[in-house]
Amino acid sequence: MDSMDAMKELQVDPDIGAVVVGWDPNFSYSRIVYASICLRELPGCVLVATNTDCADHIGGGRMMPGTGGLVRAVEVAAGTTAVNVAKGGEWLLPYLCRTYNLDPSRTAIIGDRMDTDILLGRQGGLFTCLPLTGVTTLERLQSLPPSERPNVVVGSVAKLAGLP
Amino acid sequence: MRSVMLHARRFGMQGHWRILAAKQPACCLRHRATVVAAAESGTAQAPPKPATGSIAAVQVLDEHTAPEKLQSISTLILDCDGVLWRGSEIIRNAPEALRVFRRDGKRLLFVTNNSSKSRVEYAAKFRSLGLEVSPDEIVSSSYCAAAYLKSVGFGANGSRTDKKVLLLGWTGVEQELRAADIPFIGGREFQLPAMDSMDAMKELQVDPDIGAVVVGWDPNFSYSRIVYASICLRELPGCVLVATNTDCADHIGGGRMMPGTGGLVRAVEVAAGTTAVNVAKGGEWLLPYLCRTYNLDPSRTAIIGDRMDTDILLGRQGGLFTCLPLTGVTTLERLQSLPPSERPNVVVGSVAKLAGLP
Repeated sequence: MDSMDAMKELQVDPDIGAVVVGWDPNFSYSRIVYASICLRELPGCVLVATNTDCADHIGGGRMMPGTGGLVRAVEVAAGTTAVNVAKGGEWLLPYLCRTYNLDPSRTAIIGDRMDTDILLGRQGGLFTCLPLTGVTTLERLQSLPPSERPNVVVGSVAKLAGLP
Repeated sequence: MRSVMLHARRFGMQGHWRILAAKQPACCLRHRATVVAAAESGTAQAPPKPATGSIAAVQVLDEHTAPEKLQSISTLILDCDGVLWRGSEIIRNAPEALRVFRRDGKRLLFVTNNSSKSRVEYAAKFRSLGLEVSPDEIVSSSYCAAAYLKSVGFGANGSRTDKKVLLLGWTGVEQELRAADIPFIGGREFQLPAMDSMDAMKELQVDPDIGAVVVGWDPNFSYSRIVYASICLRELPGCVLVATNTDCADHIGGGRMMPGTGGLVRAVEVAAGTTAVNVAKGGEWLLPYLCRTYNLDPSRTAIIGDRMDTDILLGRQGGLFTCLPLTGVTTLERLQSLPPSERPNVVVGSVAKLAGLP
């Protein structure tokens, strides 16, 4: 899609009712163009994000771009907002409660990210546990007011099972 | 057409109306509206006061009343798309208007957020539409990127002369970087391996001399390019992110919009966890640069542009006189909805009216 003519001539499949953006190693400007045309020109077409995480640790001090940036590119191009169906979005917890008959007072979430796992737990009134084997550091937790911290902090998930 | 005729009757405007585009052009908003060009006969009257409030109606000046507003102005900063042309269609009397401005002794600068072309390539586009202009009068965002990098030490004799640029962009920026003697990798032909596994991303070695990542309009934008850029920005100390512009989407005619550079910049910002410097209209850097470089006296400088969030914003940032022709993305309704203090100083049907032409 390296010219206005190419973009003007592009015909999208008129039966498209949703655009789903996930982790996409083949993400490209052409894909953004196609998605943007669907979202702007096909009535009722919605944008769904599998998740909006910005970046993930892959070891060796390196981070890989997550789906979040790809979703933002499409949101900006299409002038719309995605529904985030993962932790961090509004949809997931009610879905889990319904589907798995969760009793919040007897459900715990064990996760290493404040902005997805612990957030999900707090949204649903679940018991929240954070193992320090992931992205969140003790210093970070220390900097939070007590009311915002997880219910339990452990060295690793094994500790919750009574194991070293 | 029906909604256009209702609009015409309601505001009592005579003459010929042209529907420009079917989509609301405000950046990042998504609702339908009809952009209506002002009557070509130049007999446009100000719309009646809206029934709901006592906000003063927007005055649209014509070729008889507009020119005197520019009497004390010695420099005109003109936007291009939506002012001189729409896509590949010249605005009526735009070439003649430029001649009138020059005859009246005004200096002209053409400032555009488009990053796909270099100034020299832009000059060719001007000429093909019958507009007389020299490349030196054009300040394209491709040129701005190179100018910004020079101002922070890139290029020969600079404090960062040993640094390279990673360009995620097209040939226009490539040309401007070459013209400024700034070494770069990337651009149109830059090929990268697929980044479809964590191993591939762990193994990628980036050029350690990269001191800046420039993101412009990039038809070859890809996940691999985002990976490369993100590694540079996170792992090379002092590496900065530069956006040629942050426009979200542009009209290409037929009611269709094309993704702009803005979304590409956001993708890199999010992946790298950083914020880009925007060197175009809408950013903080451009106006001081223009004032310094062209010795602008704000009290004698006017900006003529169709976008509130870039052109008119730039004008207000600098205390310039602001003029908005209705041949671009901003509608009369949109202007009417703004408090008078936020509106442009002058609203006209087209740039020609400012030169006393129909």
